[in-house]
Amino acid sequence: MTAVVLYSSGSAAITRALLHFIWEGALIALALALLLEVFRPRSARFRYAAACAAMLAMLAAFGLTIARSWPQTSAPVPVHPVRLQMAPPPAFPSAPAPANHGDRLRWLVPLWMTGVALFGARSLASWLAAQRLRHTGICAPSDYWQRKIVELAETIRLSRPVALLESCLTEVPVVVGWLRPVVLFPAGLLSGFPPEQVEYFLLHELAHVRRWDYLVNFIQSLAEDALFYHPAVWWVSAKIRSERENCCDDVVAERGDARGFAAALAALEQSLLQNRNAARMPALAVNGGKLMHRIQRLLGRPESPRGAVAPALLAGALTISIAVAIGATQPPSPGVVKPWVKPPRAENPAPLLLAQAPSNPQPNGQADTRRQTPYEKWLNEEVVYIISPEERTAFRALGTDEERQHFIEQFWQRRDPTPGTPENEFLEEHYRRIAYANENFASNSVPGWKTDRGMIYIKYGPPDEREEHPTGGAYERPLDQGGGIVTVYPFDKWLYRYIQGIGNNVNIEFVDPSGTGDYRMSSDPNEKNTAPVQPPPGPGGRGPGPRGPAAQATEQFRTLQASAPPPAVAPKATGSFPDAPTPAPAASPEAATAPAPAPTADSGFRRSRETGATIVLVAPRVSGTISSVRVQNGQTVRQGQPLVDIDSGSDSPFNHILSPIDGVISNSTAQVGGRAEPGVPLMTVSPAPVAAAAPLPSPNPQVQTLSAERPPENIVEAIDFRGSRRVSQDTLRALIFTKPGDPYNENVLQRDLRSLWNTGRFGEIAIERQAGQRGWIVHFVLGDRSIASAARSDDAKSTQQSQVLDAFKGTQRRSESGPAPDAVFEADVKATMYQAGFEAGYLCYSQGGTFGTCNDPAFRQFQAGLLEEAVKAMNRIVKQSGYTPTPEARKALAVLQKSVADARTERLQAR
Amino acid sequence: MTRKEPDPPRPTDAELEILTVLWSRGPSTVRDVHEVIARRKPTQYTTVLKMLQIMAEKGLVRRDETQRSHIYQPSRPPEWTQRQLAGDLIQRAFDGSAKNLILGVLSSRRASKQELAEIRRMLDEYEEGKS
Repeated sequence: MTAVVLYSSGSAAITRALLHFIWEGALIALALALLLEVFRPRSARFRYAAACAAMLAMLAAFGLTIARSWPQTSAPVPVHPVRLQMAPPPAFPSAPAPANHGDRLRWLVPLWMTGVALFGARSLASWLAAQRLRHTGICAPSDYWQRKIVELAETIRLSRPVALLESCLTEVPVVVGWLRPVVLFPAGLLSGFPPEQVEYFLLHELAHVRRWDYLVNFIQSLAEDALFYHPAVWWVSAKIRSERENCCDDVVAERGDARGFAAALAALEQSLLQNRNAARMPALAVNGGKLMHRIQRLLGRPESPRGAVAPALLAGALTISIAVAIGATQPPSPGVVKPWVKPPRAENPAPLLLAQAPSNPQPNGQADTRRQTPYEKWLNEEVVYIISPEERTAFRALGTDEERQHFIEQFWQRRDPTPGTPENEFLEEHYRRIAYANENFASNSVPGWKTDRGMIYIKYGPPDEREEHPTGGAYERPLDQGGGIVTVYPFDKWLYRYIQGIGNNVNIEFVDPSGTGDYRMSSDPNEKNTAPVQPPPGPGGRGPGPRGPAAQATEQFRTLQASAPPPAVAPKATGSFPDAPTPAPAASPEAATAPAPAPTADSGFRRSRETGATIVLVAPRVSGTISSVRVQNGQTVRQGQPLVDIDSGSDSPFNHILSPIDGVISNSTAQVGGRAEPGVPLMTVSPAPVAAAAPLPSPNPQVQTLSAERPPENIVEAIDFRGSRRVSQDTLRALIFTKPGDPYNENVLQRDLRSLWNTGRFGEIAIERQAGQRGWIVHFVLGDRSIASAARSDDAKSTQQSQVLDAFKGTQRRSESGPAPDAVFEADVKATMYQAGFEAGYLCYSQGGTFGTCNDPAFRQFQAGLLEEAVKAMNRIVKQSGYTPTPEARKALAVLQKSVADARTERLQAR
Repeated sequence: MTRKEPDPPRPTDAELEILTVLWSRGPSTVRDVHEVIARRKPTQYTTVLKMLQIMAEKGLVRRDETQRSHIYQPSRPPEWTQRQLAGDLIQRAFDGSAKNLILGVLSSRRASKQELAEIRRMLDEYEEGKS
């Protein structure tokens, strides 16, 4: 009886404390928020201590409130709501007492206890999971790091022993444990990251150990569990967490290079992002210290105004008013007491791209400086020349800024030549060009980016050659324009050796007839002449005639420009094209196998011309996409340098990987992420002659039948590979399509043969079949080719780029000679041609030749064959992707088909 | 299309340990693996060998027999295993919750690509400002 009474009155005390804590907690959080945000103490240690104190104060407030109204065991008090009313805490006379709620709030304590039990169970699971990390999937790192951690511990005066282990279950370096702490590094990180970066991570974790953070964190979790229903608790807890990281960051920064540590964090984040993309793991949206803020702190930058204070104040105000409301009449509705699990998030970061927008040095007197939203500005100024009509339409259809921001992010990602690295070279280059254009091409009235020269510069980059005649005057006219000396307006002549989609040796002239610096693109070389000239009769009585190829190119140029209309012009109707922002036709499964559109590859190559060596790695096709390749053993190759799969077309037996790497790859093995197989050797393709070109024996496609009798069923019973010592059976199996149990199909077998042949590993391949018990036993008889195992290039800078580029030009030129097809179709054509070119180039390499120098007839034949395939693929795309090509596109296809026909004739003649 | 091999079964704890060694060291011989494992706890060479053979059968590792001492390498990347282990719901709740307690270098909230680009820009600017 006494016990029951005691329990009931105890329950009443807790009810009371739970209700009172609503305003107590809010008040404490408010005090903390004021302290942190008004005085803005700089020291992370102080901020951390303050947050911890707030948490302790919350626990104390809750405990004291219970203690105050806890029934005395000696004098059991009859439980009655009035009892509660009798003793409001004198310190807060205005505090609302939950008058006569005792009966109505009977459910509150059981509810709270259930919550505590659930959160407690979660904490227990956390603890068990953390313990498990200590024992499962771990291995001891090398002695070097074992010694290093002891050394580092000494530098921060940490005397407790700390174990260092590698684990396959963590993604980032973590510390687990309190009495016997263990630092766990993800498997491969110790060797995969530069040693100084690993040391930074180690220091950070050791700082956690020295500061007893694990213990504090544990207690903090328990406090969260007990007071789970109050948002202020979670807010304070989040504060403690982020300041704790800051404290440890400071420890690292004091003993090392703050910038280096910031870079290390960014690099780690980067690698995680990549792995996650590869493994398609859902991002866990648990909040913690935001990386951006941490790095700003490390670099000593003023932190951007924290958005957390507003929600905190709001939460405080809200809870106080709720508390008042409760006190007045009504019991809290369950919706209010519901735990607010999500701590207040900081405000959305300002759109990043806008921060990078080029500052326009010219006072722009034009009307369109009227207030544009940043997104309009982005669309109509920043990317106006490079956005495709489809993308433009899609962008305009977007409703919210969030979607727009996302679109912009995607927009740049699609163009990133090296997805996976933090740098987006395309983006950087684009804004550099805008800045350059604004600086150099602005006239009195027009900002640089809007001028013709600006447009061309932004779209196609710096010209390969440039002839400036800023004053005009006398000019010796080239012979093909009529020769002689003429007087001209100021003009500026640019030469691009090659522009994709337009052609070779594109000459563009800009003329300034007004003398104001406002150069206009001209399609006629005579336009710059001050007086209309009669073209003198050329040799052989040639009249003005058709304009030269350069002028035609300029003309095409104009046509192309039209696909990206200037801001004033309404977006071109996209006709029957799908509205998807990406130009990839992915409508049908067939079409999906078509190679991805080329912009990344394209810009990758363009870029490589400027940045330096490009090493092209070609790997036998493995399933999935390659996410990253770790190049080992290379002396000068940066470890962990991500290589980029520039072509994910699944039809090809190869993955094509392109990466800007400096130096020489001596021996490379690849670890392939995602669903792909690790350990597939990569071959470096380098223009340096690796071996004398050997005549290519063509493989015998005929299947030899070894046994006279036929098997009972026409299926493939088993497959084996003979004669290859170098390539494992598994790898070979992975390369072919046929598998045991399949119906026997010689077409598929020949495809397999080609796929094996294309690896370049074999000098001869034959297929034999033999009757087995149920079906055919298929033997692939392989003869290993002697290939150069390592491609070395001492002069990786000059030869390589140009030759790789040339190789691609050679195969692409044919399709590009037609008039400009519309953007989607053009992308398809390019991608296919690109694919064809790459495979042809690879084959050439596998013969011991080099890119761009292969004149072997077999190579040419193969190339022509691929061209043919490309046309077939084009037709398939046209048929199946559900769009009707425009007349231009049809013309382009016709041109392509004609060039195939030409190639065929050539081939016949060659025979 | 390359034929997909059936996924190997989820590794046991002991297998996980060997896989960790392989992921951390790259393709290794049995001797290499044994050396690393023995550093932490006494283990027989033959135990490791047997384990690796079993794992090769299961498809967890690949064996390259072209050299005299066979070289083993994991058939799947660590991310795959993490996913496998996080496959069932209980396990996921279990492992995910460890994040509350352990103290990592980075929070478990991943930055977006754009944020990273911005960070990279800040780092570069800082460098420029310094020099």
